[in-house]
Amino acid sequence: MPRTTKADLEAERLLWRAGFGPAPGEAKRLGRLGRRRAVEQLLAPKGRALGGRPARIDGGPLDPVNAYGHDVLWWLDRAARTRHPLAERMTLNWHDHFATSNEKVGDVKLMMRQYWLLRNYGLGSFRALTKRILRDGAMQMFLDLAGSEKGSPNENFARELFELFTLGVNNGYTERDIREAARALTGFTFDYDTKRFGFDPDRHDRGVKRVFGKRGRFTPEDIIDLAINHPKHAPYLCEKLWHYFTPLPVPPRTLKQMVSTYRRSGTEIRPVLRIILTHPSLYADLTSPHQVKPPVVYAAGMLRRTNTRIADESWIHLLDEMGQRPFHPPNVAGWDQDDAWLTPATISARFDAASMLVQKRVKDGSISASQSPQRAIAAARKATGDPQISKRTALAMQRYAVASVKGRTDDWEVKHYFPERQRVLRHVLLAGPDAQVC
Amino acid sequence: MPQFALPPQPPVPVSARPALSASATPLATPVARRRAVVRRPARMLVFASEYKLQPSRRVVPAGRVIIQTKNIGEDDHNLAVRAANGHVLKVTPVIRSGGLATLRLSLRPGRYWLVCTIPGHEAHGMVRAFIVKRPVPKVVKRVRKGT
Repeated sequence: MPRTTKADLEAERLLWRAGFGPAPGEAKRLGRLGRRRAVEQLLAPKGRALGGRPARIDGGPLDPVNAYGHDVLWWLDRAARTRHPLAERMTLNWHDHFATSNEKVGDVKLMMRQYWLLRNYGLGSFRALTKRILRDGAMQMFLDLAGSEKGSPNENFARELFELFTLGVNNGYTERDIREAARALTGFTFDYDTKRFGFDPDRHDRGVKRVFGKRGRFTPEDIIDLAINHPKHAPYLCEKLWHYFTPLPVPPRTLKQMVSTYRRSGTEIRPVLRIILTHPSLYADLTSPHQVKPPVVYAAGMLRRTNTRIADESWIHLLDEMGQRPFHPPNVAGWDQDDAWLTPATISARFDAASMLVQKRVKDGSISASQSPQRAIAAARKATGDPQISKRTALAMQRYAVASVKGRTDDWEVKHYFPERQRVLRHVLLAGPDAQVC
Repeated sequence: MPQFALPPQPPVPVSARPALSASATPLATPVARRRAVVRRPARMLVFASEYKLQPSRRVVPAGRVIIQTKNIGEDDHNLAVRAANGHVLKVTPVIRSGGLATLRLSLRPGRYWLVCTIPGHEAHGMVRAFIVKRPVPKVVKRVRKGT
């Protein structure tokens, strides 16, 4: 069942790179709009954010705050059911950028509050987003901003603000800048009993600091402004955003255009994403994709394609084994992307996830003995959202569909081998080499 | 195959029968019928580290409760549920760094304490109170239009 138009392939690429893959029929619908209008639709989504049936575990709704691992399921469920794919995908990207782990925070409510911050402000002004992150409880706990006070400032947040959030490693700042910025970032407080965050002016260092060669009695918000106004900030952020969507190098002219757009717009994210998502690089090699799907994208994509809702806790462990558990990034630098996602262990977990879906969806004995190889392949493609596959995979599936049931005519053989053929075909479509990339 | 029959049951005295609720009165129009729903166990998630316990909630409905404890610290910890009279109701085994343990209990209304019983940890602050309250009965209200 080959793809008929380039527009379909472009829409499918867009939905994988800027979302969590297409639900059945979604790529065709988006493809009809053309590249530019399709991107506009993702940048300004309308209507309900979620579709489909919400996850249920043991007959009840998710309890992300009070049940271990349900926070991970909650995130995956939103990704799998989203109707605002770019907004949801950018939330995941920002979670990687402003990586905060509940392994240290120890409070799912705070983590979910940060999720909503990233979700609500992720397509707007980066300056506003970073200033909100500065005041975010989970971040303040994670990078020890809460409790940092004059006389003994904690440097963690200041260091990561420059190194990871705004400028890049050793890119236009010195150790002294970090130390001075840390002084300006003092005064935040947290009370464990009341769970209240605050700012105590008496604990804030009001002295004169020198950051990036400028002197002043800087406040915490001033430090964010100084970092974002730094000439090296815009190129760093624009290039980082580019690489969330494509592993290809950013052409220098495009980077220049993104930087100028970002600055002119007052650090707005949307116009930069517009440049990336309409750029020809994003649609290069449509028939031989080259970006490895991050585990959350891969898992949510499978759920979307098969129209399956989350119904057990296995996904918590599967995502962990695949190497990406939302709310639990490995460190403050986030997850290693692209090829780093694929190791023997993580591929095995990806196979297990597909096996789980396939086992649940094909009932033994449900496949007729008269089903031809072509019909078996068509049925498998339909059940998995008709994904794009290479000629090599198509040929292998064709050979297998014939050979796997050849001469199997006894009743027990029909009952065993025909459903097995269907399961294997679906598994290849969900977890074969083509399914790992987009 | 032999047939088994239940032994005859003694008649239930009227006083022991469950009282009919007012909403079941057949004359009421429209009729609101209430059906109790079987409640799933309440859940609580506790993060343990040096030297604090961070429970996900402070109030839990009475009845079955599942308490999961995740050790996000570097040292070993455990979690015990202690009643107001000082009696320890249940305690997890030692939870290694990164480990998870689950306690299943049935609790009556009252005040309880979460505590790490590893020597010295409670004194360092690994103790938190929580309240068990009588649950507000969950009902499904079905309204039938009268004629």
